[in-house]
Amino acid sequence: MSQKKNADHSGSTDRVLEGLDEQTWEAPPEEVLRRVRRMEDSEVLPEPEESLVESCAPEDVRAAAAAIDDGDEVVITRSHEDADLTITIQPPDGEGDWMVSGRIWLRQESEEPMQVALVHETHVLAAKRVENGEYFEFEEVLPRQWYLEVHLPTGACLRIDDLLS
Amino acid sequence: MQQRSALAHRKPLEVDGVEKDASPASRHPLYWPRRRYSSSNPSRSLRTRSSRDANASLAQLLEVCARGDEEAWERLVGRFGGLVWSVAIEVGLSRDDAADVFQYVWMELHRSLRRIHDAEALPRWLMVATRRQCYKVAAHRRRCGIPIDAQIGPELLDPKRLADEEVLVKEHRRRLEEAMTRLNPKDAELLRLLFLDPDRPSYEEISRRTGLAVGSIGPIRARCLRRLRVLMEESS
Repeated sequence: MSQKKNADHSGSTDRVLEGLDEQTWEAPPEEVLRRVRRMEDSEVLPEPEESLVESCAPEDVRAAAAAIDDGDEVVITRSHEDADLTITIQPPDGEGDWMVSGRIWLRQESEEPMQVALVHETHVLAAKRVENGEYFEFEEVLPRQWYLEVHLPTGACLRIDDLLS
Repeated sequence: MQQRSALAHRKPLEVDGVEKDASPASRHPLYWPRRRYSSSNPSRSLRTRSSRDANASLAQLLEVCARGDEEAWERLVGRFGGLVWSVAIEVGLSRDDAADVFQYVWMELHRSLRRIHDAEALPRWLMVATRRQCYKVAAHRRRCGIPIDAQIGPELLDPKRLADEEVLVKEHRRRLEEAMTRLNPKDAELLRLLFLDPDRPSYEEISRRTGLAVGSIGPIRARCLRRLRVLMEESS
């Protein structure tokens, strides 16, 4: 303790507020903390550079809300020069999770898997590694304006942003 | 702090190697005098901190975490673990459900590390993620017919609710600045050393400057913060 440097102290109001907050916040139990200290099962998803992102929809329909009623399942297919996609979306009937599933077929065979992610703003809500043509499925609470990102083995990214809002 | 840079041209007084600026800014409750460093030692000069440094250091921490540094990740969890846990408990989840939410939220943050460019927004980011996961857990339980005490509905996902809280945070900050002016000078001095000194003094250094025993600084810090909180509550 006596050797401890006050590592996070710096000149801003926020630091004092953090000191106050630390007194207010309830510390999580040690066994709960222990579970998240190592993130071996999780992977930092790269943020695709804009130049490497291509949308699967023309600009005038991007982020356009498809008319879909609660609980109704819709199937969406998209073709891109690098891949073909079939996505099934089922919004919750009332409250709860959306079901998003599908398959992606690469036009060019690759040994490397793809990463499929559900994204909202800066939140990667869920992500999965999938092989070419492999089935994937997500069950997530989705806010408006979510979209699907497909990180191709080439490093490029397909953004399927015309699904639903 | 912004006031310091704006008044940098003034000739300061020097006491114990620390510039004492007699300007109005120096009377600001969260003012910390600028320490003079030799320009021949740039690394030391870089430690002179601005008001954005807390966020800059958090941004660096996020960056290091994204590169896979486990120690940095532990520091991040240690720093904001209480926030995530408290939000989950406050909305009414049981401790078991809160533990699940806690794990989901940190996984989400881990996956998203490369996308968070505004470190200042991290607490809000964590609150949004925590609330969404709380809602998910509650909705899942209801769907499965498992009773849940908490009244957690879609309103938890309402962005307006967070916007209202941001206003409250600003008001909280204003009350803090006001309370610092009314705090006992010794308490205020200790809090400044602990939280505002750009040179990040060790407890030994603080002990030397204040005459407090090293072992007593922690408990006194807690008491000072409690007194500060009382003053803030009075001003509200």
